[in-house]
Amino acid sequence: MIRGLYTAASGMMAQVVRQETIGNNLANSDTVGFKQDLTILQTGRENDVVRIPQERLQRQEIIGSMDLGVLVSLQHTSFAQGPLQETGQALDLAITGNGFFTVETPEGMRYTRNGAFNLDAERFLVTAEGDRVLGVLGPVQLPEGEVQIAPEGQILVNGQLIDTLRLVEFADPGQLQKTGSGYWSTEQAELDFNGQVQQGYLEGANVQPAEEMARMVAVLRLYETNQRVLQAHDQLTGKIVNEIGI
Amino acid sequence: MLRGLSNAASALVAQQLKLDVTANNVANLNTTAFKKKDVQFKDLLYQEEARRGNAVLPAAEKPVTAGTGTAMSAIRTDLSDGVFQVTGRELDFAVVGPGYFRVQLPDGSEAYTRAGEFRKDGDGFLVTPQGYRVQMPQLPAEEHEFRISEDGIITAITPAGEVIPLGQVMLAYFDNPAGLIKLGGNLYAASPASGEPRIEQPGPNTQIKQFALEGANVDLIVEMTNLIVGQRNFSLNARALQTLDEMMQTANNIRR
Repeated sequence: MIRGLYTAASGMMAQVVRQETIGNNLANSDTVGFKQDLTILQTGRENDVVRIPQERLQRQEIIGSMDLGVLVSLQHTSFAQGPLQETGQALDLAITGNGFFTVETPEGMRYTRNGAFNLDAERFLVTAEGDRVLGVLGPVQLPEGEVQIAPEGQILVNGQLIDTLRLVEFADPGQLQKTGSGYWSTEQAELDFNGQVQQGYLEGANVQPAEEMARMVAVLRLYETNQRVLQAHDQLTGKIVNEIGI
Repeated sequence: MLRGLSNAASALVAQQLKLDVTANNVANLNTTAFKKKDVQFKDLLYQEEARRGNAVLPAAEKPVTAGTGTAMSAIRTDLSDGVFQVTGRELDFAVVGPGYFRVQLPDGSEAYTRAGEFRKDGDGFLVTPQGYRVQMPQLPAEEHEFRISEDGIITAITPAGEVIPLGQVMLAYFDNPAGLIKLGGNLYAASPASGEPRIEQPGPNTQIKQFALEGANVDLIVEMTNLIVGQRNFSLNARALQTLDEMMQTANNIRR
């Protein structure tokens, strides 16, 4: 009886986690380079169901198994391409295809898809956080002049090759860990970049509002359903206590 | 549960800001040399779900995390030239390309502007509409015509047709003009982010145009699109908030 109560409660808690993820996706639907997350659930631990022994010392007979509620198994990030938005700014870059820009932060190397770069006072290329963007030769410092960035990442100022953006890919981007501010971290080996850099564009978030709304409706109703199950268990317990015992 | 509420609330604040910035761009559609702004957002820290007491599969290869909403990361200024409008007024100047006119503030510090709608004060100095002196050669008090060449040389022409050279206009250039601080009234001040100004003659990429003003670089269609995006995102996140409210109500009704 009590077991069912906790099964229903775990169902409610799992829906809360899902709703938090949906809420975070929707909150970041206007964040450049954001990739949406999907909460994956799986059945809880499997337990053997044992027949209650009729006589003492009789061997316990297993009559089947039952899952105990639900667990959050992983947070899957979809790396599907986001829509490109034209800005016309020379330092706005978008990646089409797989791959990441690399950024030097106080916490170490980070990877990002947000190419809304600026210059700092020393003319280093920086992210909105003020972290320096890395080229093959180190942090990218731009002399004055017209900046052109080739699809493979070569940086040309007034036609002179300055550096090449340090662009990387990973074998399993699903294992990258989000660290906030549009950054990812990983211990994985960096692979060669096969995507393309588009100058004058930004990559919007790949959040699909309609999909998230549909998920949100499902979350709300599943939450209610689990609440009803919990209530039913409560009512059953109430009957045992108040009616059978008398 | 409560974090979900703050996720949605953070997005409402962020989208409100986007609407504010868009409204400011539209309001300054006719402001001389106005530079439009846009807002950039970022995602916030990610928290481990297991640490928060949620049931999480222990064998997960990477920790299961959930985001904590959004926040503004930057308001960026688009420094592209606005639309140049010929006014025919003698003391209207526009800077084509990078560069700023230098203005003396009453406290002695220097400010910078691209809005060249100047007039002459009693001493023959050019002043901004607020009455601040522009760093330009003094003009003679007599009824002369003035001309400024594209590379900034000012001359006066007497009614008899005599040309009197008055001097050279120097402009201020910045390594990172996006880092200038807006003072209002079309004036900017240098900041550590912009770097110190370099005072130079109008160079190969910069020209001064007389009889013209630089308009705002606001594109109304882009702004209207931003308005729609901001408004829809606002509603979307308001709906997320509402859903969480209903979920909390459901939890409260478990035991009646």
